[in-house]
Amino acid sequence: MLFTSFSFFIFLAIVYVIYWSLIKFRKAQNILLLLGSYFFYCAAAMPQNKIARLLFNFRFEEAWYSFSKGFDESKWHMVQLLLLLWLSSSFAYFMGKTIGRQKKETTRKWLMALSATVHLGVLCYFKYFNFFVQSFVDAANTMGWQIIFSPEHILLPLAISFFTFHVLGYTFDVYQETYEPADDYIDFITHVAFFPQLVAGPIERAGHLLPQFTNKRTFNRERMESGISQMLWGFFKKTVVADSIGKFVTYVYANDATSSGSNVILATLAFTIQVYCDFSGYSDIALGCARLLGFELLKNFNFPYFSTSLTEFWRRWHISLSTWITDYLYMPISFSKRSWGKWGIVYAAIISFTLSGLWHGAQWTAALWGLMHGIVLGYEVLTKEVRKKWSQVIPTAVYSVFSAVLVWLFWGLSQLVFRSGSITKLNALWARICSESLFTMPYFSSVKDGLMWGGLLFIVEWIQRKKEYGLDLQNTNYMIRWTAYAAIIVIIFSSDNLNNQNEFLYFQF
Amino acid sequence: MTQEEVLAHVTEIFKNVLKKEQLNLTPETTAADVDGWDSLTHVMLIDAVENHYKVKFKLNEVIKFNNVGDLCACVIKKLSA
Repeated sequence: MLFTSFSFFIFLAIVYVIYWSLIKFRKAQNILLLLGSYFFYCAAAMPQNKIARLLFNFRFEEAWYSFSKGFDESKWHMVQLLLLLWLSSSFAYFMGKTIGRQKKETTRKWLMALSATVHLGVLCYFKYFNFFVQSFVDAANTMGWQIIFSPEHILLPLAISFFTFHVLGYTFDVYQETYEPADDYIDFITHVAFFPQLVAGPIERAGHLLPQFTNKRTFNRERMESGISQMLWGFFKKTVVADSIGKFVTYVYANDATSSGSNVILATLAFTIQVYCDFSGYSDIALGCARLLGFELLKNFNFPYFSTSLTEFWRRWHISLSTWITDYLYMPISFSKRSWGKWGIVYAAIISFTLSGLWHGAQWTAALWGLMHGIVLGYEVLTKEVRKKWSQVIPTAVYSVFSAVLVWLFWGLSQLVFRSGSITKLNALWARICSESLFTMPYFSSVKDGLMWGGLLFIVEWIQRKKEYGLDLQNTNYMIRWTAYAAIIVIIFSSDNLNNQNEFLYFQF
Repeated sequence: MTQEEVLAHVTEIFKNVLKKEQLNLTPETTAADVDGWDSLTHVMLIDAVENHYKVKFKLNEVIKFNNVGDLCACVIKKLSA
């Protein structure tokens, strides 16, 4: 069940009506959100037709027959997924309590290490087991050893990277005494599973989200309008822009042997727009959806393509992950190497971003992507003063535009590495770029719609850059506001992509 | 050592590290109030304060610094220990 599917609207409408009718019963609201979130989690991993049957054509006899037949592989997978999510959040809750009770620093440290080992161990097993063993076997075979390895059939549980980081952050906060252990078990496991942020973030912090579950919620018309308009902006980004570009990008990258160099360049630059609209679109829908239920999630994007340095870019792109990495990885590493001065910061940036790359995918290209970012961030640390002098000499507008384009081109180059998915494919794509085919005319016509809507989106976002999101028109004239809402709805519903449900890119992480 | 004395020294250290001639710190000043005080320079500031006072902070202490006042209080605590 995708955010952009009809089933999701039915699900959200049902939850919304029951949820606000329980306004006087906070506990009941939380239990409803817990059950709804667990249903959503299972449904997110279920094929579309099965969810439609469940929501529109539910027959008790059929369901009982299906249940009594026993568990087939897909049902087991569903049970395993739910069990993993429940166990992960429950374990974090009990470890938080246990760490919070301990007074002795050594015991607290050991408990925190145990908790981190369990959470990261589960993540590593599902996400990295085959990758690391295969890499070891490949390395051994190149040295002349004869090792045969058949990869294990391990299905990556949906959202595991996101909820693991969510609960790990909570454990670290309790250990560092920056957040008190959670009291209420139901509130805690509900805040981890809360469906708007479960599948692809934002990676929430207990200190930000959990108090919202323990407090009474109030219905507010302005917030409802804001929630719906942010969701609309997210749908526009995803269905109108990202999905229009996605087909061309997929085609070019799938045909790496025959695509022209110019098409590889065009597809890579188009992918930078696709990935932004896809992921920030998802975040807009998540934030808007949570606001409809009276919650505020962490802001995840802040118009990143207007950044004038890579350092600034990472303060604006996937903010919930970059702040997580900064707090729990970069800070401890740079603190331990603080006697190295600037080089300690460079070292911490390179290690943190390489690991952040691996978080995005169990591939060497993902690690290389992270390493590239770490190195450029390190370069920016070392050249900060020189760049500041340049910015004072060159006219501000020229310097800002030049820097923003440079950041975007570097981001594009790193996305070529990331999107390729393997070193072999990266080499093949690079060979196409370095061939004569680079000077042929690329297929602009294949992406013209996506690029046109993308251009309009960036103009709107530039105008709205001081606001929370592109369609944030709360303080604007009534006529302009509702005309804009109506126009966006018409554009979304006239899009061909609405009939072809395309998965969000960040689901794979 | 009083908080005013530590604050005066810390202000000088911040001026040197952040290369800012004009900088006025108060106990309530946070990173958001000072241009250039970010996650990159934060560790350099901590290191400079440690070297000046010949003290060592723990990561758990540094994480809890919400403003300059917290940093000064921790320095005073270390010096009087």
